[in-house]
Formats: sequence, C-alpha cells, structure tokens
Amino acid sequence: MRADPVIITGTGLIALAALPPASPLLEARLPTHILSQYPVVIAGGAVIGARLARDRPAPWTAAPALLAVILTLAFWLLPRWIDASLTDPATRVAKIASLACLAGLPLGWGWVQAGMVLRGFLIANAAAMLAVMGWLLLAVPSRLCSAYLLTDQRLAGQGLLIAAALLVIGSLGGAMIARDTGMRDRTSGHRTVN
Amino acid sequence: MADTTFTHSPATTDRGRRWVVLYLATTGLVLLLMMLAGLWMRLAQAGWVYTDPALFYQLMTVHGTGMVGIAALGGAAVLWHFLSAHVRLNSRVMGANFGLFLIGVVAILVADFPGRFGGAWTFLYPLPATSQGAWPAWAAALHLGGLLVIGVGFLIWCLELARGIIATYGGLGRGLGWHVLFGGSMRDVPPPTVVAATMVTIVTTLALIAGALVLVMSLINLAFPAVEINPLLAKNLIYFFGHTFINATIYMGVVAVYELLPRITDRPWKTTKVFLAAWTLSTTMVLIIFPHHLLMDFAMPVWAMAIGQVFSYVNSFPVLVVTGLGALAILHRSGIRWDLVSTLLLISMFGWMAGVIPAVVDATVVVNSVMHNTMWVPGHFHFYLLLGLLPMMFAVMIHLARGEDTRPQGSDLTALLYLLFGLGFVSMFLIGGWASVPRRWAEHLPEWQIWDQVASVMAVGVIALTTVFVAMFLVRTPAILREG
Repeated sequence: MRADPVIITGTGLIALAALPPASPLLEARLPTHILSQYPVVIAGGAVIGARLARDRPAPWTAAPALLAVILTLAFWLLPRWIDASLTDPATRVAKIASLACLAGLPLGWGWVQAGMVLRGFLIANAAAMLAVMGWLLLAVPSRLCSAYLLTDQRLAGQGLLIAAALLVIGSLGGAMIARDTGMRDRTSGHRTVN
Repeated sequence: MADTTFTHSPATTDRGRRWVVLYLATTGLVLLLMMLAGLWMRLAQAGWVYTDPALFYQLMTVHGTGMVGIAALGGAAVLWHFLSAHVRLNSRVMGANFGLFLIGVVAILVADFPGRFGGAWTFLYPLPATSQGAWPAWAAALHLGGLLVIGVGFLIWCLELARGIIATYGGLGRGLGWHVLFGGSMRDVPPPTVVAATMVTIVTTLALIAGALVLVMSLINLAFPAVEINPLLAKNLIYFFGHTFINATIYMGVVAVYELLPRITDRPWKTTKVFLAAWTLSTTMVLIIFPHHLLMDFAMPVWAMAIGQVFSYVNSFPVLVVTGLGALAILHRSGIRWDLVSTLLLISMFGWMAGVIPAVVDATVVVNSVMHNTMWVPGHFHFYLLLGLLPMMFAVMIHLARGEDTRPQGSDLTALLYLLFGLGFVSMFLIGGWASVPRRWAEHLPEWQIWDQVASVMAVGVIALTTVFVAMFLVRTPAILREG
C-alpha cells in the first residue's frame, strides 16, 4: 500500500514543529511558541483532516468539529498550560497531540464539511478572539506566563493583533475576488442594454 | 456609456416571507414601545412628568439600544424581502437571527430595568464597570452579553447574504459591480438591490467583528477590573461598530426605493457605472468616517480627525446623489398619482438627504467643539432615522398589507401629517442644539423646556401616525401569511 503524500506532508509538518531541532527554538520565545509552533502543528493536522474529509460528505459534523478546534485552542492559549507544556514532558506531548488531533484534524475535516456561512462565522470568531487575546497580552500589567518575559508577552500580543487583521483582510479579499459562477443560483433575471 | 436597465423583478420568492412578516410586525410593535419610552423622556425634560434621573438613564439606554436594534431588524426584513428575488437565500438564517435577537432583547431588558443599567447604548469604557453603585456589575455584563448575542445573530445573517451573493454573482466584488466598473464587462450586472446588499454585508460584518472585540474586552474588564484597556482604542472600536451598524440600516432600507418606485411608475431603475462607483466609494468611506464621533478627544491623532471631517463631508454624497437623482429621473413626468406608499418613499428620500446635513455640520471640527454635546446631534439622527429610514419601512409594510398591489390607493395625507409632525419633533432637537441645550441631561432648565414641550406634542402626533401605519400592516398580517 502506498502512503498518501498529503498525509505524509501533514505528519511531517507536525514532526517539524514538535521535534528538535526546531521545537526548542520555537518554544524559547512566546511569540514563536504560539504564533509559529501552534500554527504549524495545527496546519499539519488540518492537511490530514482535509484529506480524510474528501469523498466523505458529512455536513452535520462540521459544527462540532470546528467547536472542538475553538475549545482546544482556547485551552492551549491559557498561560497556565503554556507554562506547564514547557516544564512537564507529559503535558508537552498532550499539547502537541491535542493541537494536532483535536484542533488541526477537526479544522481540516470541519472546513471541508462546512458551508460558507459556518466558515465565515469561524473566521469572524477567530479574528475577534485573536484580537481579544492580543489586546489582553498587551493590557495585562503583569506577566501571564512565568516562563516568558513581559517583552515577549507584548510582542506576542502585537503578533496576535496583526494575525487578526491579516485574517480579516485576507478573508475579505478572498470574498471580493470574482469567480464566474455562470449565475447558476440566480432566481430571477435582469438584462443588459447597450 | 452602456446603461444596465434593471427590469424590476417579481415581487419576491416565497423564501423567508413568513420571517419577513414576523420581522416587520416585531419592528412595528417594538418601534411603538421605544417611541413611547422616548416620549416619556421628552415629557420628563419638559417638566410635565416627574421621572427619577436614574430611571431616565435606564430609559435612554433602552430607547437608544432598542431603536438601533429594531432599525437593523426592520432594515434586515426590507433587504431580505427584495434581495430574495435576486439571490437564493436560506430562510432558516432569518429564524436563527430572530431567535438570537429575542434572547438578546430579554437580556438587555432584564439588565436595564431590574438591573438598572443606564450606561447608554454606547456602553463607553470604563462606564459599565464604574457605575458608582448606580447598577451592579451583573447588570452591565448582562447588557453587554445581550448586545453580543444580537451581534452574533446579525453576523450569521450577513454571512448568509454574502454566501448568496457570492454563489450567484461569483464574489462580493462582482456584487458591487466591479467587473462592470473596472473590467468593462456587461455580463451579469448586479441590480441596485444586490449592490446595496453587498455593501451592507461588507460593512456590517466588519463592524460586528469590531463590536465583538470591544464587547468581550469590556466583559473581561467587568470580571477582572485590574485588566484595564486603552479607553481611546475602546471608544474608536465602539464607534466603528456603532456608527457603521446604524449607518448600514439606511442602506438596507433604501432598496425599498430602488424596488418600489420602478413598480409604481412602471419605469426601470437605470444602473450606470456612476451608480456602481458611488456605492463602491460609500462602501469604503462608511468604514472610515467614524472618527467624527471623536473630534473632541484631544488624544486622537490629527490625521484621524482629518479623515473624520473630510470623509464625513464626502461620504454621504455619492449614494445620495445617485439615489436622489435616480428617483427624480423616475418620477419626472411619470404621471404618478401619489398615494401613501409613494409619498412615504419620497419623504424617506427627503429625510435621508436633509437628515445628513446636521451631521455634516457637526463633523466640522470648529462646530463640533461647540455643538457635539448638545441636542444638535440627537436632532441629526432622529431626523435621519425618523424621516429617512422609518418611512422606507412603513412603505414596505403598507405595500405588503396591500398585497403588493402598486396601484394608487390614496391615504397620502397621513404620510404628509407624519412628515409635518416629524419635522416639528426633530426641529425641536436642532433648535435646542442651536441654543446650546446639552444632550443626555435628565433634567432641563426652565428656559429650555419650551422646546421639550413642543417636541412632546409633536411626538404624540408621530406616535399616533406610526400606530396607524403599523396597525394597517398588523391587521393584514394573518392574510399576508395565508397568501404565502
């Protein structure tokens, strides 16, 4: 049996971000930890999830899958668990496993299964919550993670705000771009007069 | 230049019609209740009804929040009704939005009356958390949570509009007619309703994301007062959200003009490149003019103030001009026989155009520093909403009540009376502003009360006529629903 190249790519991405030599570098600073390691692990899982969802239509699974993504991310963005993942090897394994399997995989699966409204809602919610997290990291007067400096916290806050802005701009840009649908969905017509 | 002639579409598909009727019936009833709350406040300021100042601010909060919410609900019904003739939409979204709206309304009413929250619809940080004992933290949290729930409903509603437009036209850019405007294409030209809906979708979605951000941050501040947020950033986000959201309601309502006037006059609404350019310009400018609410905040960057002033001058004109001229072109020598619906539509055009003028005046920095905290500003938005947006909604209600029959059926005198009472009512705000009467004051000095008293009398007339319009719709509601 030949291994699926998409699944290999996804697994490779997870391994790249979770294992040395990259992982100690990424986890050394808060901005790279949550803005580089997290996204790469999630992207690896998402690639696999999207591959598995292809040819397996189950739209009803989209919302629960995407909810799992939100809950998992919310958990691993808590400073207490970011700290724990740096000091306790078991928690670190749990972080990588859950980011890949409970955030990435359902993200890819749910994204393929979801309709445009649900996708839009996820993007809008993600943008607002990334901005909330970013603003919080900038506003809180003390260190939230004992493993990182306050300057790192501020940098991560700015990074999250930029990520939120890019998400909104990118999604709006995507929605604006014209694709010719041949007017399949139109329910009534109009005509053009020269 | 090639014009696109939009042949007015059939009345509507049946999709979502029950929800449209339910939305409009709810709009009518809530509108009347909110108007009564407004009358109560004017009577209190007039010195005719004693009202505890704390209750005044609770009423002001409910009135402001309620009117913004119901303007959006009514606007959503009008837009959905006409858009669903061009774009296939999923009416379950209307149901979801309505359910979330009701949950939010209950939360806000509990927060504002039993909870005594009186922080105004603007919920300016840090007021919700620093009431000095006027209301408990749970009431502020419930009010903000209610707003958040309502916002989620409208976000889903906007996303469904976006989905429908993208599925039909291939992208929001094509919904705005960019392929015609910039690409010279004459294929799949979006009709005016779709162009307006696309603009509403874009600006409202962005506004709601900003609103969610600042609401959640305010909730966090309520739960953890040690987490202080930048008040100026919070204010910017609140006005980006609030100004854009309420501004978009008139762009929802204006599709009634685009759809009904052509049917009444049996003349097509001509969509030109100028029309499309105007809507694209307004789409951009609506998003950047909100700093005119912050002209008195000395800490704001000068460039932001400049944007607020300059674009406030420019923003209203493109769409106003193309809509106003378009309406006049359709009406000119059309042989129209005026009746209630057509007169209300004409009043709405007047109310929109004239209601913008006090806002443009107030957006001038030197005027703003004197006028912004006076009754001038409520004068602007009451003018704009009472004589601009509401007549559009009433026109659609009566159009539906008449079985979508566009033949003239009289009753235009009631519309003219509404205009007169409405003008009298909003003029008292503007005159009060001219005389430097401060806004948001529960008690007025005796020298100011003459305008409050005249306004109260005029408000009674407005409420009576609104009752007539709403009743005309409500008595026909069962029949409309039966007819499907």
